[in-house]
Amino acid sequence: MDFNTFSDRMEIYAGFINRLKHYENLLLQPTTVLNATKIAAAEVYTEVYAPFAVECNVITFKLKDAFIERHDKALDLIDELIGNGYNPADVLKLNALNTDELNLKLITEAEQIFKIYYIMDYYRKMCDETHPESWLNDLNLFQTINDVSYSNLKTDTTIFFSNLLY
Amino acid sequence: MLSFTSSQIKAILMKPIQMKACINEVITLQAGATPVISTSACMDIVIELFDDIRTGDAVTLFSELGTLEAELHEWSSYLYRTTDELNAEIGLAGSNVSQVNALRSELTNVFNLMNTGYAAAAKVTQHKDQLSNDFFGASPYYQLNYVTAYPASTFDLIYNESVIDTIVSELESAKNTLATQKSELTRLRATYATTIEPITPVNSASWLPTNVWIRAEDNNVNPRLTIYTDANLITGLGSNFQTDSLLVRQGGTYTINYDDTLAVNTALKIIDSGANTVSIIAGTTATYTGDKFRTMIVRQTSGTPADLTAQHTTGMNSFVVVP
Repeated sequence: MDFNTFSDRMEIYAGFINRLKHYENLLLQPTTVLNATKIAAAEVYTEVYAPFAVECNVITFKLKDAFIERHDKALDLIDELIGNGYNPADVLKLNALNTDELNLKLITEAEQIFKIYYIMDYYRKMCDETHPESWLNDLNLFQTINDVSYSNLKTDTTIFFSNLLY
Repeated sequence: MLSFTSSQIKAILMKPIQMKACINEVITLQAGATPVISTSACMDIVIELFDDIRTGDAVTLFSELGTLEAELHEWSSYLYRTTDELNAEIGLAGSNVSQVNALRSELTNVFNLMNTGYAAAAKVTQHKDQLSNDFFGASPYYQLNYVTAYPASTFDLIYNESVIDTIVSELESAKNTLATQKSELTRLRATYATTIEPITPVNSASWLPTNVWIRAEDNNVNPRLTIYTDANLITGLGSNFQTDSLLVRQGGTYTINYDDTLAVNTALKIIDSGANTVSIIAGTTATYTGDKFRTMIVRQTSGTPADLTAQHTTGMNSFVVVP
């Protein structure tokens, strides 16, 4: 499942909750709205969120492994520099530390790991009632998927997933 | 009688139509090659939605519609019986032509009102059954078939605001018909007091047979008087009579047989309207005139309590002495 499919499904789910919420006290009792929401949320959590979260975990582990590999390579290089004592020829090796292949990618990998956790935590709040900040405790939050801020987040996230390093 | 206003009834009956947008969202959840949630979870949600519209006021409304339907039948039936009584009144009018004509007019009115009542009852039944079957019953059609039934092009034709307005109008009309039937019968009873029976047709009463067998059922602790019409205690009138539900003729003669084989060492105590005990029967047969009846209770011939007034229902002023 790619991010677009995932977010489309979450938005259909959120749209349903918004519709339910709209009819609260007009057509439906609050308990009905919450019960129906929880039925949908429970299955969205297991059938939509969890499978994509597993894929994200795989991505995270790949990024982490790559991070560790590059980090180890940098340490090896430093150890080599220290072990050899000062040698002008080693300046070239120092330059290697300053390339995209090492330092910059290290930072990018760390940032991407952090962002994946942030993004998945955001979507987890939509369907996991055990989350401390679960939206099921305030169904009005589902309206935010219609906001510009959500639209921007989705655009950024779509770009983010398409540019992953793994 | 309906306790809801027309606008309240409309609000209740419109809910399945207003819910269509929600149902469409549920269908979207389960539609497509990769549904967001499963069909069974969607069905659970739809059940939640239908549970909401068929609870609370809807339960009361449908219960009241059932009562309205029954009462329309009952009062229409009573109006039908009144035609006999008006016929008798015509007989009493003899050659008084204007009185006979007035009574003929009454007869026509009563007959028309009876007809209107039956037609209104039929409408109430039709709408109640259809709406229960489609939306408000235990497993209504539109709940079970929401995936196809709600999006069907015919839905908006079968159920829309105009259709609900018509239903509400016909229910309101039925309610008014019943009120007219009741007021008309009150007027007829006041006008022809000697001919038209002053008996409420609701909670219908029964005449006490002139020869009955009464047995205290169960035991001495919690006896229950059952009235039978045969010596073998097979055909029973019952034991749970509502207040003023057994009629006796004031000058009639009634033979009472009492059986205490189940509630041993008990007797039947008959009390008149003045709370005077007129007789005790213990495994014997005795004959009484109707004016002696008001209440029956079981009395223990030994032990306490002597009068088991609280433990049976026949001793609740069940008898009405009719002159």
